[in-house]
Parts: sequence; C-alpha cells; structure tokens
Amino acid sequence: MPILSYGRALNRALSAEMERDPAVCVFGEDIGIAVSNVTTGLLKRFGPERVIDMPISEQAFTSFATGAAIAGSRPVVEFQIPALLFLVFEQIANQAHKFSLMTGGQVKVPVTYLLPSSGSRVGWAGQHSDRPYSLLAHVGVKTVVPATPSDAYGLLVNAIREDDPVVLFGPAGAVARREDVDFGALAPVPLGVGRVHRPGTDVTVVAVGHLVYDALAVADELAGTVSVEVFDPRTLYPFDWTGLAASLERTGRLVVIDDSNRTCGIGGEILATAAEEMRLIAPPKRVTRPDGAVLPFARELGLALQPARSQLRTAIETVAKAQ
Amino acid sequence: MTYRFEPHHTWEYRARPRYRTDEEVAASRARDPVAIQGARVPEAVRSRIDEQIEDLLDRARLFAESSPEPGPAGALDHLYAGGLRGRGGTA
Repeated sequence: MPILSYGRALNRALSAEMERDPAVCVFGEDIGIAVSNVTTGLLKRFGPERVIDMPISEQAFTSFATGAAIAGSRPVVEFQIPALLFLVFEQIANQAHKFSLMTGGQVKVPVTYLLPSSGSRVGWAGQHSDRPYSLLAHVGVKTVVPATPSDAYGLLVNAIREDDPVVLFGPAGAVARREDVDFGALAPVPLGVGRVHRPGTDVTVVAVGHLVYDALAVADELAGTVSVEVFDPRTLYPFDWTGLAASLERTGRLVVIDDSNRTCGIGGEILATAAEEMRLIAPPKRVTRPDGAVLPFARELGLALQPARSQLRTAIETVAKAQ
Repeated sequence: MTYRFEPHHTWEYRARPRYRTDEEVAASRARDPVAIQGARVPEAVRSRIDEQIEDLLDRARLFAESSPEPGPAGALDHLYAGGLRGRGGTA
C-alpha cells in the first residue's frame, strides 16, 4: 500500500476540504511557500484569495479569522509553533470560544487552529517546545492531538467541518511518522472518540499524541509479564470517557503518559475522572513533564524533562503489582 | 519601525526563501538605525566598542565549549528566583 506521512496527511485533508467546500480558506505565516509543509501546493491550486499569507501579527490575524468565520468562511489558521497560542489566548479562549453562547446561538465560529509541530524538537529550547493542549481543554475549546497519519487526516477533516473552534496539535514527535494506508479508505474521524491501538488485560495506558508510539514500544517490551492496553484518546476535549471506562472495566489499572506540565495537565484530569467514576483496583499513576517545565536548550536537559519510556515502564510495573 | 535584515532561523539561512524584494531591503538598509547612529560615533571609539563586543562573544563561546556537559538534575535550575522546586514528572 502507499505510504502516507503525517505532514502529507494534513496536507491531503486540507486540500480535500478546500476542494469540497469553497468556504474553507487558510491563513498563516509563510503558508504560500509552505514552511511547515502542510500547505504545499495549496496557493497554486486554490489561489491567493483562499491561501492568504499573514504578517507577523498573530493576534490580528486570529481575530481576522474569527470575523471571517462569523461572516461565513471556514478558516484554518496555521501557527508554526504552539507558543503562539499564548499570544492569541484572548482571541481564542475569550472571543472565538464564547461567541456562540453570548449570541444565544446566532453566531458560529468554525475556525480550526492548526499546530503542525507541537512540543519539543531537539534544541528548540524554552520558548518553542511547549505543548499547551491542556490549557485549551481547560477552557473548553475542542482540542485534538492525533498520533497517526490516518488519524491526522480524519481529525483535521472533521475539525474543519465542526461549527465550533477546534485546535489540532500535530506532535513534533509524530509528524515524521509514516503509515501504510489505502488512500481511498482515508475517512473522517469523529471528535471525542478514542482508539485502542493494542488490546490488553492487565493495565490500561492512556498515551497522548506521539507518546502512543512509546506506549506501544513499552507494551512490547513487557509483553511476557504485563498485558498492556494502549488507549489513545485522540481528542482531549471532549474526552472519550466512555471508551476509557470500557478499557478500565477490562484492566482496572491505569497509567497515563502525557507530555504536559504536571500541574493541571490533562493527565491529572484523566486520573481524577477515573478515580471518581471508573473501575480501579489499584492507585493509578501518570508520567508527565515536571511542574512548570521550561525545556532547556541542551539536548540532555531537554530530554530529562520529557516523559521517557523507562519512566513509563516503571509506572506500569508498579501499577500492575499494586493491590 | 524596526526591520529584520537577516534570516530568522536556521532553516531560513539554508533555504533563503524570497519573500521581499531587493529594493525593499535596500530601502531599509538606507535607514538602518544601527548604521546611522554608529556613524555618529568617532571611528576610534567605534572600533574599540566593536572589539570589546567581539572579545566578549569569543569568551562566551570558549566558556560554553570548555564547560562540562550540564547534568539533567539541573535542568530546572534558575526557573524561580527563590529556588522553588515543583514536582518531577513521575511519582
């Protein structure tokens, strides 16, 4: 079967939706020359009326997208790094997210914010390596973190079709991934539905984004001793609590691996909800970045602050044994 | 208004994408405040300042290259002025 890369999957989803719906347009910095590779070919194919390069003024063009969406467009806004979300938090969390309620449902704001490379790439240091998906989930903005190329395709298609704002994080650790797929079988993936990548009976591991690959590798390592189920929520808000509860009915034991800072990260929300509402026969654990982590430039220091396979393995073994 | 003459990051240095005209860059060069202000400083003073800065940068580079690799335990050193330490990523 043909090989589909993660970046190419986002590109295919964007072009397919632009082809299907003339209201879909793309705003961002350097999207004409496709610095992030996600918009490759779109300017030539759809023209400068629908693929619009923006000045280095994120707050202005994020608001521009809100207005365009209210007026009937369906903008996709690309940010090259997730730290730009801090800059436009007002525009997303306090404006775009609230207009539907504040107008009694008269106004919809169907904007997709696309982060094609979130989290750490080696040496990108303090101001380029954050992964603020938990913040968006916290305020209630629909938030998706696809791990695989076909999920990236399917979730971006549905993010664009959503009538609400949606943020899609493409993890830097996943964008180099490739997958054998039948292009004809690529399909929209519903928001809010998780995916079991590997069934198991002893411990459920919830892995967010690129950490799905680490969870699968650790599950392989432990295959002789612990049967690990790898659950990929795919969407962080709304979260697939039903899917998680079904997994915990089978295993009763939970480990979360989440590349958020620990305090108020989505991993904490998953543990809390499981503890309140689901079947747990042992105390759960999470593997995260430390509290308030700021990734240093030096490679070893940056790696030391990100969730590691060895930490996940230890957490699984501990939870598997706990009474 | 400020203006950036050089590429923003390493990819741009390699790929050299063209997103502005030579005329636009030249027009900004003509009003480069660093060049204009620099021309107001006597040449001897300016050379001395330049040398001091080059020397400082050289020493910073040598310090970095001759220092031992930093250890992971110090990855969050200096995050807070008072030395607050949050929790690690596992418990």
